[in-house]
Amino acid sequence: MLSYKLAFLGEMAGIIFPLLTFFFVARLIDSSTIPALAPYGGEYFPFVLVGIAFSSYLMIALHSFTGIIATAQATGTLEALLSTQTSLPAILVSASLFPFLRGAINVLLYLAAGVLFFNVRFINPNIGGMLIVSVLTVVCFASIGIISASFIMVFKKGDPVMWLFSSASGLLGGVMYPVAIMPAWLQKIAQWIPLTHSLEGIRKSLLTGVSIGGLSREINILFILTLVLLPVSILLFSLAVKKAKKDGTLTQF
Amino acid sequence: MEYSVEVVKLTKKYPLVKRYRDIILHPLTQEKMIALQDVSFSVGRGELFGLLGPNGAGKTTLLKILATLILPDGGRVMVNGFDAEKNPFGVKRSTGFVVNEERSFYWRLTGWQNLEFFAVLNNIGAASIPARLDRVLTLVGLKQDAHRMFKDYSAGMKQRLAIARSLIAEPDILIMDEPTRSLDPFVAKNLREFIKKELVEKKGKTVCLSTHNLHEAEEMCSRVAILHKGKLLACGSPRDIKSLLPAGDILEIHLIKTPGENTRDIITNICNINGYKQAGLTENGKDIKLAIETDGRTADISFAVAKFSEAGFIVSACLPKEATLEEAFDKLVE
Repeated sequence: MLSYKLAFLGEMAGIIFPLLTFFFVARLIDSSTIPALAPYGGEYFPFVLVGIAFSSYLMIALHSFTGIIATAQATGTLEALLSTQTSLPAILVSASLFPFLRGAINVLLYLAAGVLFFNVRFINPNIGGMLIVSVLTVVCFASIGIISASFIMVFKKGDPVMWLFSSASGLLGGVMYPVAIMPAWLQKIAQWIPLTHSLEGIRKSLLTGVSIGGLSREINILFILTLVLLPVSILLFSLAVKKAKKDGTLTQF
Repeated sequence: MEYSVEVVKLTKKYPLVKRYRDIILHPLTQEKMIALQDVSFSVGRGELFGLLGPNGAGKTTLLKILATLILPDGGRVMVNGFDAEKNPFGVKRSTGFVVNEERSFYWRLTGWQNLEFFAVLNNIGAASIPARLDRVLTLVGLKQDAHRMFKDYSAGMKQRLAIARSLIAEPDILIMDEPTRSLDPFVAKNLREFIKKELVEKKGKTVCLSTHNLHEAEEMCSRVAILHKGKLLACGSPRDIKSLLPAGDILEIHLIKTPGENTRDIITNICNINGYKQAGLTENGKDIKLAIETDGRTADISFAVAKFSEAGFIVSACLPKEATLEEAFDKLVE
């Protein structure tokens, strides 16, 4: 049990230390001279706080499915799980609930730490709008996570989906800096990344209290992405399981 | 007859891993290794059926196909009336797969917690789980140790817990992949008795198990199938399999020696003079069991008996030696 407590404490430290780092970085920046920050309230630290908090949650959505499969393969439990009367997608979804819940708590902890220790103020936040964007984002990212798990199921290692989305989202998604400061051609690519629209919607709703109507662009884009990605991910995953069963590699890693 | 398992012309080929050079030069070709080829057999209800074969024979592949973990390339597999390919959940409801892998449990959970987890995944209602776990743990003799962490279990206890897990959903058919592997002889014997007496004879379960222990198969199974390099060489009761060897090739002569004789030398001399090849000699006090290969020269046997009598032995019996399953297996695999 002690190791779980230690892991929890480590996780808490993992929240505070990056915030401290960016808090001091924010002191170096004169936010009033950066027009790209204006749509988000004009200050850098609240901008980056929301970016870090929600991107970490989205990374959980992206990694949890592959993590569950890879761990079950490595520990040898996958075969026993697959022998039960529960389908693999159902096992995946239920096993990912805890990481998602923990991720949501982490987001709250990030935001609470921002308010309590770093003097961040959310004035008239649009919580409803933020929740709509968050739910769409989670489903969208979970779909990408399932596509990634399909690759792991078939190729075992070297998952290109995970690599592509993690790297591109980190670079172009607007986690640490506004998308508007990037060159125009990179901004165009950033529009194809779900994280860009997620963070845009969440920042607008939390930092400037934009109404649901003001979030319609982000909500529509995320809704369309979810509509496309969810069925594709389910189809790819069932094909991957079938191929692994055909090749006899279901439990190999 | 109603069958629990029916396998018809089952074929399975695994794709071989291609080297980078082959991927570039022959991107569209895929070499395959035959794991099972046209295998057909059936298992009756309440039968203890053994799959025998050396490593790489295809036993585990066959069992995993029965458990719906691997899809076949050809043929048909029916388990409890369900097509394993088309209705895997029907098959899963009817079967319990005993994974021979102690890593298939969560080591930091107790035996009880592990079973509870798998009970939920087997759609057993929360209210009935405690009674169900109590029953299976009592059956496998682990009730006292149910609340110990899995990591503290011995190899035998882990294997019993694996059987308990397969019984949670009360399936009609149990599929066991080498259930006694890595167990010491005493624990293995107990487990064999448990499978045969408790699960098959008392509970009426159908058990399909794989083993490469021929003695185990002979002791437990009502019927066995011998697999070698993916092909079914023979299928039947151990007696049927043994009868595939030509009878009378080995003759067992029971002798009683008189004191003070140099028994072995005399026996060797008699065999040499008459051209008999010794196939075994055991002494137990005055009793001697001599096995000789006759090469079908049955007429000479009376002569040999006379020679042993002349040499002072009392010949108490002379009968064709029944082949062991091991001998039959060796002959078939040859």
